[in-house]
Amino acid sequence: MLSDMECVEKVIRGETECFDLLVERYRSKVQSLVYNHVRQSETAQDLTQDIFFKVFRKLDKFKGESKFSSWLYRIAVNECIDYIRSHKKKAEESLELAFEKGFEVLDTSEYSDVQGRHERKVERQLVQKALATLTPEMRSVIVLKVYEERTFEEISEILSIPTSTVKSRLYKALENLGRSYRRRTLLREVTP
Amino acid sequence: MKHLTETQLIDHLFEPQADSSTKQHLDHCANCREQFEVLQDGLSIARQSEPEPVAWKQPRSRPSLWKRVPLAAAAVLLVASLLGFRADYREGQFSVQFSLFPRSNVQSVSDQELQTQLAELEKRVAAALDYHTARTANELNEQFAALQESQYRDLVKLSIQVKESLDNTELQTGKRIAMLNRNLEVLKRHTGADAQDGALQ
Repeated sequence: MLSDMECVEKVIRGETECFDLLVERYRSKVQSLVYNHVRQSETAQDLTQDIFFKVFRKLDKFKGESKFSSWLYRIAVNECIDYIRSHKKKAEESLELAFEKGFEVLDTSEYSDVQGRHERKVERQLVQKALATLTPEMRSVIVLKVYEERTFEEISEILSIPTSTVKSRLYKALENLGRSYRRRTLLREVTP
Repeated sequence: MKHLTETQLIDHLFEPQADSSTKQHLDHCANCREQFEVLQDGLSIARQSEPEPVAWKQPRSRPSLWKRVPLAAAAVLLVASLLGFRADYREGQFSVQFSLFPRSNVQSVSDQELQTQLAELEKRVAAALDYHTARTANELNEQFAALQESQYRDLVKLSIQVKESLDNTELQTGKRIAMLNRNLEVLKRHTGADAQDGALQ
């Protein structure tokens, strides 16, 4: 089986069909990484296509200084950050939709428990508002560490920043989430 | 006492077993413990908000973008050559000529050669027609797929709207029930108090 670097070299030499191997190898991982950022499956599929096209165009700039996968994920994360920044409002709406879907409990026995469902809905809104306080960069470290369970060293290579910066960014992101959630819970408790 | 750094707190959050001195410090320092609990809350919120996994649709089997660029160029060249265009590059000059018959043969053509050239021309026209038919079929297929996709999107939008409307109704009902429950509580308290007053009198 060809290594990533061998595939890259072949594509640069004009054997473009080798790029399909790379796409097959990484499509689902990139798609999932993008989906965890944008939380909208159709957008994730479109962005993944754009990312691979961008990678194809930039391939001759890849010199093998890092792993191909890290280089690819870096492009993907940057693309997600740009997307979130330019579609902030839309992304928040999608986030809301994803939450609605993500927390849906399809249990008919709960239909009588309308008040309970109302409580859970308020809880979801609190979580969602806490998440909205994060910058796209903070969201990226959460995606990579919490959802994708990568090591700090891997994240450092992907984002091309020192491990200490990764930890500091994650610290700020989690602190933001924790404090924002506590503040809103408190407000909810004191508001009649 | 020196407090724990951001790095130490984050390390302990993800690998609690790695360093026992951090745990000891947290047991004795209320300030760091409070900070650590905020991070734990943050992590719990992040985990709760993890998007549900989705079943990805298979990508359509049309050629990828990186394949389409050279393919499109090749297609243009093929059609051009089939229609009789010839590209030439001499002495740094690039030129395109159009001729149905190769130039060298135009001046002296025998019947035999004419027949051959006509047969050749027929072949080229037939190939061009085949290519055009295939391309039209492809375009129609793509248009049909796009139409299907747009209908699917409309359907998704409609179901989202219906769901939102149902959810809103449910939310309003939930709020009303909560309010009624509170009123009922108040009423019960008052009724209980009246009954007690009556008993005392």
